[in-house]
Amino acid sequence: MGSDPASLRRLLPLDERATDFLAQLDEADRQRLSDQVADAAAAQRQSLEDAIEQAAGFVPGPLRRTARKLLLG
Amino acid sequence: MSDLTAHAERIKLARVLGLAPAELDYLGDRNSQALRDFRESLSDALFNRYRARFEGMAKLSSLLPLAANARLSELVLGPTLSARIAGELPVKRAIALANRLPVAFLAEVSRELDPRRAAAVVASMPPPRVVEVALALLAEDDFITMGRFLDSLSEAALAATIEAIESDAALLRIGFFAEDTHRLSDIVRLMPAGRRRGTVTAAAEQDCWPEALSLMLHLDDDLQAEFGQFIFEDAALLAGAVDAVAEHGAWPVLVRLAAHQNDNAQTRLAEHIAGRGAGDHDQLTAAAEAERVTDALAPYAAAYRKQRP
Repeated sequence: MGSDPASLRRLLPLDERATDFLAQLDEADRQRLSDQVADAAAAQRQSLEDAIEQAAGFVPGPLRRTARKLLLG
Repeated sequence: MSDLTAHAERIKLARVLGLAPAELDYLGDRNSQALRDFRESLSDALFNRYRARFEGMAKLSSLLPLAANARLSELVLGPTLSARIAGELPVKRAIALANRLPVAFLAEVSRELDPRRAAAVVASMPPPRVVEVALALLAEDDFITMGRFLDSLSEAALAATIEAIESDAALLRIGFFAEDTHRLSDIVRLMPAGRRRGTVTAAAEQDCWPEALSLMLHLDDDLQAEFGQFIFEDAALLAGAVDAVAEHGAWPVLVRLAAHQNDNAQTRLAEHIAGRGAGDHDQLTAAAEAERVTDALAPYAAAYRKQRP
């Protein structure tokens, strides 16, 4: 994915515990871990979107609009 | 021991990232505290990034009948999202839902759950349910997940779980993976004395001295005295413990255990160390100074000088 630590911070609200850890890695390891974190964030986002799509279907018809509002904010 | 704790941390981090542990082998030289800080920061960030959505899911969950809610969790959300949402649910609702879900699914959820965010739910979980999930995790040798919950579970749930887990070695391994060690003494006191002795025997027979020594390091003085007595009164146990101490650099634990022992026990230690060589004696002496127990180890020092004037 080619995620560098700076773009990672825009993707996730990482605090100094994470940024300090990344800063101490050599460049190749930092890039690799940044990619793995970006992949995890993308996977969570995708599974959330899929779940939201399906979850509304579990709600009885009259409540479905309320449910969508709750899920989408 | 630090190599084991760092390995455990890589497994926990791999879970947060949705990876196989081997995919983080390149972080093998990182210490456990740094890995833990990174994992907790990442876990917080993943949660906070979509916090509004998780809260929305939790509110939706409260609108549904329990049976539909359980189906939603198992069939749609899966263990990872269910774990993220668990801490946002009212405690009563979360417990009622947990009672509806299959044990195998709950075990999966517990692997993904951050105990810091769901502490109230975990603390209120009925002991029989906790035991069922613990036994499911035990069947897969998942000591790491169980260790993460030691700080959050109720005393009744812990006592029931200790009773249900027959293996003393398993108890040691679970204790080794405790996230926070401040409660370990209270938990160890829930074990009958016979089982406490059993963990020392298990350490020797099932190759888990590192776990046992790590646990003993964090115990209160009276429990260190008791475990030390179990070890020092048996020559084979003492030899096994000293081998593990030397291999893993766990001299601080040994000197703390020894400091609580009587002259005879310290003499046995001195005779054993004298038979191993001066290097071990030097390490022990340095650890005694660092731990400020040199005075308490005067009987050991006198006995060692008799062995090696």
